Amino acid sequence: MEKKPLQNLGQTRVPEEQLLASLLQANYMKVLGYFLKLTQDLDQAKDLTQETMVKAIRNYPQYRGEAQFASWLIAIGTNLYRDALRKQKSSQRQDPAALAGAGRPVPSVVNIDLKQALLQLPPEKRLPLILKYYYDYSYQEIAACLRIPVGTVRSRLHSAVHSLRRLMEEKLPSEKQNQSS
Amino acid sequence: MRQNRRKQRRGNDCGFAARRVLTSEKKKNLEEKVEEEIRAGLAALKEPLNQFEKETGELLAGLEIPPLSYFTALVHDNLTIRQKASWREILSFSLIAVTFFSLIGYLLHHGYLLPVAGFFALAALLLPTVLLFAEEN
Repeated sequence: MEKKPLQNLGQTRVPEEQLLASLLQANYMKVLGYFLKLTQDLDQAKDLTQETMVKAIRNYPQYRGEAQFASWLIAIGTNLYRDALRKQKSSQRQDPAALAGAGRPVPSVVNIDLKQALLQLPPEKRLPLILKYYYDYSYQEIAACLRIPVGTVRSRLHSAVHSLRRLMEEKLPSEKQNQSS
Repeated sequence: MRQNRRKQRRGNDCGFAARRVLTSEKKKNLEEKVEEEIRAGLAALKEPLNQFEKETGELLAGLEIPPLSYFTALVHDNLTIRQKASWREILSFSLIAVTFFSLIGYLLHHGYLLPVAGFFALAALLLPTVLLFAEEN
């Protein structure tokens, strides 16, 4: 088991703060990259990263060092992202026009299909796919992170891959048609 | 007669066990099939997924990591807020506990045993329900 980093330090608070600060700095880009893949919106990704850092500092006593610090941050971030989506959904229900198209970035020309297809995937499918493919999480780790059974992770991942392929295949013929005309 | 029943029961047990083995085998096969499909699907999507990662990486490379002083200030501020909040929590908890037990003592002292017992019974009944709907941190 990985030792909790701050346990090895002295009792003074300043080095503790500095160590936690350096841990956060070291993992900043990893968390930002994770949110960037999820949201494809730099501003939203930055906001979520900031919120994750703050929540991690406040919940630091609960970090038992069982997982890597980066994984712990990603788990916190995932919960924050799901909370943000829930809030967004409820506000959409109250005012559907307010958020229609809001926060949706304009995808770059390169790799446009996959980006669009990824955004079209519902978050509960997008999350396991990103955690599995880009971060090489095991099913157990994803299940723990998303608080769902392992079987559900497998089925969501299967469904995500299937939907992504279908979406991309739908895009390809229409693009070919456009090019020929 | 008894022997027949025993044989029948043993036969049933074997049937159940065999069915269980079959079901677990089926489940395993299905999982393997799903696993295979996921692997094949990801392999087919490998190129665009890697391209997307490359693009994200390029975008991140253009960004600056905030300096250590920024994170130190963030940690310091939030730890101070947390400490203050925890002190406030301890104080309010102690105050509420003392008030509550004083009130219980006062009521018992004045002979209100049944209402107090009723209140505790109701609390014991409702508390698990409240805990079920409590929001996780």
